Amino acid sequence: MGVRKILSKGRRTALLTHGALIGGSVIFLLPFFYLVLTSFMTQAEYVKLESWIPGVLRHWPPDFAEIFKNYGTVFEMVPFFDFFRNTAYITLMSIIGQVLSCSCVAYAFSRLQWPGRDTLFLLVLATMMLPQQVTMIPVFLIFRAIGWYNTLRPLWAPAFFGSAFFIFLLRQFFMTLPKSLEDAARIDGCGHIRTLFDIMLPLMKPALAAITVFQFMASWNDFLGPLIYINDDRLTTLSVGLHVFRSIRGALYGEMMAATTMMLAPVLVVFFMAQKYFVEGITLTGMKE
Amino acid sequence: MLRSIWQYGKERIGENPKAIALGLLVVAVIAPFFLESPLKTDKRALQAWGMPVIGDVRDAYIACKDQFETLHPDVEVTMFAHGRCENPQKLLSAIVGGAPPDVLQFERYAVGDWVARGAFMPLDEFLAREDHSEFAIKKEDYIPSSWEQCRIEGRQYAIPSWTNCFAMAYNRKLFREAGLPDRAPRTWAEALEFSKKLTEYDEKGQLVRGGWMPSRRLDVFCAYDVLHCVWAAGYDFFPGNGRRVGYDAEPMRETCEFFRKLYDLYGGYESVLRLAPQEMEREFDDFLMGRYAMNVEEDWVLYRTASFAPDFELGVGPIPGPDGPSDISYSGGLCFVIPTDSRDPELAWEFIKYMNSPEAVLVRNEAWLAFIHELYGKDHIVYSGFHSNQRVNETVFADPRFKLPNPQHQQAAEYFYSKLPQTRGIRPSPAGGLFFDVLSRTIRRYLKGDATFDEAFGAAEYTVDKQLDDYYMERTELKLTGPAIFSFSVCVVSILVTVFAGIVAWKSRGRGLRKTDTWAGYLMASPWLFGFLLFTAGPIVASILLSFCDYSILSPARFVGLDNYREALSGQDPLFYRSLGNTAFMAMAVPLNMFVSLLIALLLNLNVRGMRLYRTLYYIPAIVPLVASALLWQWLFHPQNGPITAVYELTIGKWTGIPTPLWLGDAWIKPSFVLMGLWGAGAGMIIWLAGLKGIPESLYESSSIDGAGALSRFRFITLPMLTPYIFFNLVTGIIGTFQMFTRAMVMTRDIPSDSILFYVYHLFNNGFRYFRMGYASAMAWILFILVLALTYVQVRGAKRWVYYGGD
Repeated sequence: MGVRKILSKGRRTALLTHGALIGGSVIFLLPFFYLVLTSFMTQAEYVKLESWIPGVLRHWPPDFAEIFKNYGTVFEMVPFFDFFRNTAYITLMSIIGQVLSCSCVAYAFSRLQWPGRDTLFLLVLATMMLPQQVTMIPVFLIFRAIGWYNTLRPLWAPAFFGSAFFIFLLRQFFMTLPKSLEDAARIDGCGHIRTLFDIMLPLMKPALAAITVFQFMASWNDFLGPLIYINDDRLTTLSVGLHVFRSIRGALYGEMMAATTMMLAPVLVVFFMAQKYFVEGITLTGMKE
Repeated sequence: MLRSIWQYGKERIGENPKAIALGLLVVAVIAPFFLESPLKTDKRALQAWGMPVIGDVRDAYIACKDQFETLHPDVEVTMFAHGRCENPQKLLSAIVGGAPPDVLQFERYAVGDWVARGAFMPLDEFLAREDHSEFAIKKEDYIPSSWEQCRIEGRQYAIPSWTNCFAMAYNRKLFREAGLPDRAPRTWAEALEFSKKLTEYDEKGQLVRGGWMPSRRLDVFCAYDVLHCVWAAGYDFFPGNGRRVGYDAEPMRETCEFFRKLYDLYGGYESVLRLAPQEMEREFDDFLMGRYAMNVEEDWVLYRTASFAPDFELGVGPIPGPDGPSDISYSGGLCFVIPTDSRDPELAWEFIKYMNSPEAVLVRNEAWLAFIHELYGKDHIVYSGFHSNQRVNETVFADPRFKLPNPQHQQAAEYFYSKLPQTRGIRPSPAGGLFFDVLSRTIRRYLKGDATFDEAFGAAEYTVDKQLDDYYMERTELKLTGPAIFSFSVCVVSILVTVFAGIVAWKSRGRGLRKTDTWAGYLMASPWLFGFLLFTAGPIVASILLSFCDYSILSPARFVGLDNYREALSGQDPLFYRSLGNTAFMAMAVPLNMFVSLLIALLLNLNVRGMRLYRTLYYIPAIVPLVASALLWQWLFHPQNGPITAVYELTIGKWTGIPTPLWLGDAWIKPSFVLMGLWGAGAGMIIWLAGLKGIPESLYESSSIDGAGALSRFRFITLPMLTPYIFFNLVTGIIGTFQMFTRAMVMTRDIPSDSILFYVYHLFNNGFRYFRMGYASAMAWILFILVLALTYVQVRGAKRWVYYGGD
């Protein structure tokens, strides 16, 4: 009796959880569904609102060439692979830069005692508050002066100097780790670098995964940066490249949505993979106080 | 320190071959890109911007480029689609950076703004040359209004290219059914009478069709309708020497009152918005769907009928005036300009000559047609549009391949063609961009009933006149050039660094550096410190300096003292407080957003199968690009067919009888924005998840031994352990909301409502579109102080409730 009760209770909870999760995902997915459906629509179809399901999907057997026509068109209209390569490169470099620099800087701001630290941390926060629109032109002039105009470098190099948002986030994370961690490391004769990389960073995986995902999104969707620094179609990124499916004279929505779907796919893969680190979580074995 | 890094690396790699492999992979990926840079060529290079080498005309423009290169074998042309008014920061930064395009296709209405700031060179010298080639540019070939729009203070600064023309277009079928004659109304009185007969309501009293709805569109087209009517009444803007705008005039008042009368027929502006929401106009064409029976349409309506409604019964006629039909149509479009710092103006001129020739346009149209045929089938046609060069139009019109298959449409095309010589443009002025923005905003305010004529147009006139005054009046001789600003910034930054270092050294004197981690701290924080000094500190100091100046970016700054701050804070700029209020509203929604994303994160932190998939699904909305999601939401909120409307009508609407709100109308658009934000709560969820995973398992273990329930575990373990993240999300959420920009920009393109004019977008408009970088910098500093104060309050308060487990 008792065993049955526990089982059914566990099952009921699981069922409820799944129910809630599925219900929520329907709401969250609905607009995305529309996006993907539109990517299969012809121009005549998305003009009519009542065409919920694209004509090509109603046929049986399906004609795949016809269904994916908009996707083919994207490749004919823009050098999609060039855009993709450039975007991937900027994104990869930015992530490497942010993870390396921000973990170092945040460590200094949270675990070390040094004069001027708190003042400088306020400065870190303050840099987030000034809209970048006013500093955009001077920063542009600096990059132009060192000859990086029309290269991809201005788009990723700043990541190696850290960003206030991530430094703040990692600092918050560092602050929650017990002080005894580094005392133990210090007793074992570890320097700061070792403490950071060997002791702290393995515990920081969830936070590092979070900044990876955020930086990925930021670089992948960055519009203003590539727009002002790049003049060459071969160096253009996806976000700027896709903008052209929409002009003052109306838009090629089917094609735009097809391109958007292709642009989203890699992001989803990265996110799916990054979750390994969320799932792991922190188990401070042997650290019970 | 360095030794320890080296030691660490050696040990790590020694014990871990995977690390070496990963390192090599990274190097392999990076290395080729270090070689990245534009192809070097020994040919004469020409950078041409504003050329749409993308989308369905990509092949068309590449064909032109190829032919031009065949004609000039020693030349290599690079075409780029950007550089137009839509993203002015592109051209601005290129010009101040000394790397402008060599030639540019640009919007005619804004040429005056840029010429006034010295961006483009006069072309009279080229025009005066003896030229007998087939490509020669002769004034007599061009439509006079287009040509005049490029002429400023007696000099020719641009050569017009593509152009347009307006006429009253009407739906013949609806006219027939209403028993009206097969022609456009001739006078305002007749337009009113026709509209009355065409208007229909359904049984619930909702408008289902209207007649003429002038200025119904929210974009710049709503200004064109005003222009037509005011011109028909015999009036012109920028009277006299052009240094004043005349919005507040009698013909303007008459026009507005006439528009009001038409709107009264339809039950007001809201009811029109409900019937035919402007934002969908381009794609879900309300004219072609018969939601309104007539409209002053651009010749581009032929593209829409040809593409979407080949059988549409289209009639065109002159635009009605107060006493009789008017033949004057507005004409806008593009033109070619040569930036002042173009590296090869001679070649640029050759390029313009070629691109504006009938030959080049035929090459373009043929390639375009071939592409369309390949893509959509042989029965599709292209509508080429009109060119300012009449020789081009003659050639295209004589070509049977570009004839429209429907005789009614072809007839309409011929009508538009015949009206081209009578078109008129707006006189170029240093406030051309502002003129149109303010005119459309004002007429919308008036039609919505937000303001009386005198209020709306008085304020509008002040705004434009102020910019004209700023430009024409030399108020001070104190000018700041680029190098001056640069050296000032460097000096200030060095002084501040020295002072800071001094204070730190003085404070920590005697304590001995060993005890604290001074060296390690500065060394480990150095990436950020260097980045700050290199890229942030200087620009920030420069922006303070510029906030006391009148600065157009293109010309030296003029010192104006506190004027910018006074203008913003005293409410002289009516949109300053409006945009601040809108932004504050959104900031208040931050806790709601945090709450929802925390709920989702808690749900996604449970241990059930398939969690990785669930998390990915919930995360999707956060990564849908804004351009795409803006469209999605317009569809979801559509007042006629949108799913949200449908759900509302089935539930709340049915139960309470309250009519469906106009989701994207002025009153509801901000709450709708909050809803859109909630949909993207997946981004915030990531931080919560990281925080939840950061709570040591051991805490939960010990509590379950103590027999704590789920709720009390949340209350006494999860919540306190999450406080650092609550603090983080609150602070960054509010900062982020105050800086909301991209979403505002993307949505405003479709729904230019003052209710979603957010602070930084207003700042951006001032800085980059109206050339008021000084004012924009002042706005930035006001925002900075405000957000700093808010953050300070939060940081002070945080000491009481944020719990850092580590301490």
